[in-house]
Order: sequence, then structure tokens, then C-alpha cells
Amino acid sequence: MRDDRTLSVFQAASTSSLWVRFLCFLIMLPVAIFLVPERGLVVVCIGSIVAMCLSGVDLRALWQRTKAFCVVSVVATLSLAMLFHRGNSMDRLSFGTVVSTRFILYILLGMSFSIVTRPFEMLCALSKSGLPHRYAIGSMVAFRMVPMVAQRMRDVFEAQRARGLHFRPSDGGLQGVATKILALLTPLLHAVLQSTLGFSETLATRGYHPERSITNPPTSLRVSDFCLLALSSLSLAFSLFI
Amino acid sequence: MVASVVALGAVPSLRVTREEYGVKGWSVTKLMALAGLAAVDLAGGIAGGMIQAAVGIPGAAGVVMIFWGPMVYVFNCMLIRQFGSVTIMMVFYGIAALPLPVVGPPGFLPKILIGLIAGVVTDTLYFFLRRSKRIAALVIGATNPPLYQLLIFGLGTAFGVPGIERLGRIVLSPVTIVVIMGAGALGGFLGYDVFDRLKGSSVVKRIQAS
Repeated sequence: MRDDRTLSVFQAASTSSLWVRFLCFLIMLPVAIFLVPERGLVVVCIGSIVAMCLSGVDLRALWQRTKAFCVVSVVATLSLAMLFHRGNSMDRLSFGTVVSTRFILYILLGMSFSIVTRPFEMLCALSKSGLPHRYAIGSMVAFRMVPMVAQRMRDVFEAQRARGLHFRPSDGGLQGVATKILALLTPLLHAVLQSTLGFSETLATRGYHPERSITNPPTSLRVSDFCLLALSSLSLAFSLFI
Repeated sequence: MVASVVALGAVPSLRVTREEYGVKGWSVTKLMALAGLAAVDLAGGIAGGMIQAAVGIPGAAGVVMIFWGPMVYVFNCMLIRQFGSVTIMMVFYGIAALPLPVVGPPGFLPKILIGLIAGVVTDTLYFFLRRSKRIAALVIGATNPPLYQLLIFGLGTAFGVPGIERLGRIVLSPVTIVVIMGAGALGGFLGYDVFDRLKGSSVVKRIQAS
């Protein structure tokens, strides 16, 4: 059965335009977080959370998906700060807290963008931004193929294991390990290339041509888009002029 | 100037034949093959990310990617045989990896730039070394891991990660670089070996003929 967990992140509905989300979540707010001094970080933090709510992000679902990365980032950053930063313990802890807060906000903003953005929106946005649509479609196909490739990896591994392939420390040294890795990689790459041939034939039969133009849906802005833009601009201005 | 251009033409690796390089353009078949290889690279990166999440050490994903990435790049070069193939694959990879925790957290835009630089370097190396595929595989495999280390170190410095200078001294030390170059070369050679086994198959011939 195909694993659609990777794709299920796109089920959340968004209330704002893709371009506005791209500008706010991936450019303006991260830059604001990067530039804001320590005393203004709390304000930018609150602004980012409000921006996520305006875009329709479920904060509980967001935390479920990001808590592993957030916890690892906090632990790693605090450890590095306590070991390597100059000053007394309080200075190191304070510095580590500020840096880890910035990292967590980057992660949350990036994941928020990915939660509320569908692959088709990315394709249209990339096409509209001037990137030839053949590259935008390639990116979308690459993303869509990841669960399929992961499933093929599992299938190939199970099939080869049923044929007697086992990874044991005493099996022929480096050459033995390389032979076994080849026994996994060769059928995997062959299967992936066969699938890509199928994709290309499907596109060709539907009349797709990489050099000709395609139709994109129109872009429209709503009230929530303007609110999100205004909030992100204020956060950026605050971080620049505080 | 004319003499230098003539001299350049005399160097075997710089002479490009029309059948050999970059004249046919990018067909749907080749673009889909690049997308598939980008997906393979991404799947390896996600597996590495899971290792990193499990052990909690930033950069632990590199243990997988040192082998996996060069293997995919070398296979790509030998399969498509067009300048820009790895660059385009890395653009697909970077954009598809944007929402995923691969080569940085989700939404981390510089990961596209990192992939782009690595792709351009790989394509350039293969352009000059394409006459000897084994050497090309080893050189490409050996070059990519330290390049990624350097780029990630540069980003860490730009973002002010605490202790990055001291970490850089360990990560960019000669011993570490030699070890990761060796591991990368092994990955590159694996890619060459896999292509060698598949080059006679109908799938590869159809992709190369498109």
C-alpha cells in the first residue's frame, strides 16, 4: 500500500494566497527573526504565531510534526552555547536560548508554509515566477515520487532478504558489503527509471510538451492576504528599527 | 588569442562532439528521469534525517548522504550525458526538499542554492573527465562531501551558530576531509558500478535515445 503520510501534510486548507505566504513565511518573517535584537524577539515571535493562525495553520498539528526537530535544535544549540560561548553560565544560557528560539521559529515558519501549500500551487507559482514549467513539473514529480521510491526501497530490501541477502559483520569485508549494497541499488534504480518512463509517456499522451506554454489559474488576493502582509511588514520594520 | 583557442581545441577532454554532449535538448523523458533520480536522492536524505532525529546529533544525516549523494550524481552524469543534468536534478531536489527536513529545516531557502552549486561543480567536473568514467566517478564522489561541508559551514557562520568556528576546525580538518573524500569516492564508484550493470538495459537505452 502506498504511504501517503508525506502527502497528507497538504490536507490543511489555507486562507491566503501562495505568493503572500511565500513572501511572509519564507522571506519577511525569517529575515525579521534573523535581524531582530534580543529585546525585540518576543514581539516578532508573537507576530509569527499570529501570522500562522491567519494562514489557517493548526498549531497543534504543527507542533506534532515539528517537535522532534525543535527539541533536538534546543538541546544541540544550548549544549554548544554552554560549551563554546564566552562569558559566565548565565550569559551562555541566555545566548543559547536566543539562538535556539530563532532556530525553532525558522523551523515552525517553514513547516507552516509546507502544511498549507499544495504541490499544484507550488507548480503554478514556480511557472508564474518565470521558471519554465518543465522544471516546475519536474520538481513536483520528484516530490510526488518520494513515497513511491521509499516503498520500492522497502520492497527491494524484502525481496533480496527473501533471496538470502543479510548484512552481517563477517561477510567478506568491504567488498562483500559493496556487493550487497549493489544488490539493493541496482533493482531500485531500474524500477525508478521504469516509473519515470511511464510518467513521461503519460505526459506525452496528455499532450504535454516541454517547450510550449501551459495555462495557469489566476491569482486573487483576499482580506487575510493583506492582513498577513501588513503583519509581516510590521514585524520586519520592527526588527529593523528597534 | 587564436592560438590559445586552437590549443584548447587540441586538448582531448575539451573537444565536444555533437553526438556526445548537450545538443538534443531536454526531452520529457530525460526531465522525468532527472525527477526520479532527485526523488531517489531525496529518499536517501529523508532516511538520513530520520537517523539524525533518532540520535539527536545535527549533521548525523551526513553519514548516509556521504555515500548516497555522490552515487546518485555519478549515475545521473553517466545516464543522461548532458551538461547541466546534475544541476537540473539538484534544482528539482532543492525545490522538492523545501518542505522537508533535508539539508536543513523545512522552508530553509538556501538549500536550493547549496544544491545548485553542488550540481554546477559536478557537471563541470564530469565535462572535463567524461573520457575516463572511473576517474570521473571517483573525483566527483570525492569532491562533493567536502563541498557540502564547506557550504554548510558557511551558512552556520552566517547564521551565528554558537561554536561554529571550533566545530569548523574539527569538521574541516585534514583528517576529516580525507575520510569524507574517501567515503564519497566509494559512493561515486558505486554509482559507476550500478550504471555499468544497467547500461545494456532497455530502460537506459530509451532514456539516452530520447
